[in-house]
Amino acid sequence: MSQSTRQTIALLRLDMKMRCDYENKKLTWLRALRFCFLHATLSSIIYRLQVFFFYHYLKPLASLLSFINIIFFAVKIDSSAKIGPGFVMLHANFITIGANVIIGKNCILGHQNTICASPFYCEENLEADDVKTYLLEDINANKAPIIGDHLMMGGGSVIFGNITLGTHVKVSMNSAVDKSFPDHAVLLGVPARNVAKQSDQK
Amino acid sequence: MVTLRETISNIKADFQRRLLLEGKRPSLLNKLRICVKQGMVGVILYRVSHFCVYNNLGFLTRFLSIIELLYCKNEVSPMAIIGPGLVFEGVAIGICSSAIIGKNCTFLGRNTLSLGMIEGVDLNKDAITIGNYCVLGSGARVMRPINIADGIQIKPNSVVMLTETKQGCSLFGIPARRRRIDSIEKITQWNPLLGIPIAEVK
Repeated sequence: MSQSTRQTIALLRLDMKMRCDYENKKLTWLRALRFCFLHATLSSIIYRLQVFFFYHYLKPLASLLSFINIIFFAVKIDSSAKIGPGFVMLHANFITIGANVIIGKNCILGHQNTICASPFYCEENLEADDVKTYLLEDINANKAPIIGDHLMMGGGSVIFGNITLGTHVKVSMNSAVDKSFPDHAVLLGVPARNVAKQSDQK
Repeated sequence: MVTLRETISNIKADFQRRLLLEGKRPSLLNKLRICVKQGMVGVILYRVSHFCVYNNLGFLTRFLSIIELLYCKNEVSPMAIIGPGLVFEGVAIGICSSAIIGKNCTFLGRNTLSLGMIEGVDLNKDAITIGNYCVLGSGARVMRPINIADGIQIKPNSVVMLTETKQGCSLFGIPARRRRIDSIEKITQWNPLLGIPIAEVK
């Protein structure tokens, strides 16, 4: 998936619009200018530009922008992650999004979130005879989470492993998700379980 | 007593393991690239300040800790004893002075190893002992004097309150409970990366 100039501008606009919707305000030029100096929105702008340069043969510039994001905001987002329009970080600190993660549109992250492929050894990933051939390349090829639209993550929560989450999923604060869940789930605890009522899941 | 030669060999082992972890060749350019990263800077600063403390240069650790806090957001006590092949993957890692950690361990960020918050702990006697090839997920915390065996995986956001662990299990939850991984017990050789069982890489 490459990202053209027009797409980048549209993505930046939709990110700002989502942030304004969250604050119940209208998107004006003045407010857009203000967002360029607010650290939470600034880091998402830098991320979009990073992806733009990554797909236009300017990888050194992309790595410089990701370096700025890491040093100033401690936000580490891999260029190969695919995040839809309307990406909002409420507080940009200590956020990590690993390689090959796919997130739908209009997701809201809190602070200190991690979304990545499982860094651990799990038995699901290999068969009994495969133990010796399970080399580093296979660890990197561990499948990353695939997440639907309208994700909301509380502060300190972690999503990891080869899982898929539905749309309108809410993850509570400081919980760790390691299994797949359907639409409209409300996840709580370490390890996370679904606490949504039956009547709400429609 | 920590000699200069020991410190340099430890730093070399850290570089080697980090390069293996990222799947890069051990060339000079790749080493320089890694040198800038927050995790690697944190490891090097810890090694240098650990050398300074045991060689009557303790005043230098004040300045080093300021750089550490500003650049990598870590607070690793120079009195902690950590074996070669250490990898800090993320930021915001706190390790107390009474920690003894084996070789080839991985910290994935936002980890805390502390004894200060608990009553009835003798800071001179008790210690957090972690074996070789352990992995601490992002947000994993250890808050008791504990003896963790080799190759234990502590999953994200779990808080470990046990006093002893056997080999061949992973810890997950608040407070952390054991989950068996049977095939780990049979395996005698360990990959230095991520505590995954394979043939040893030199």
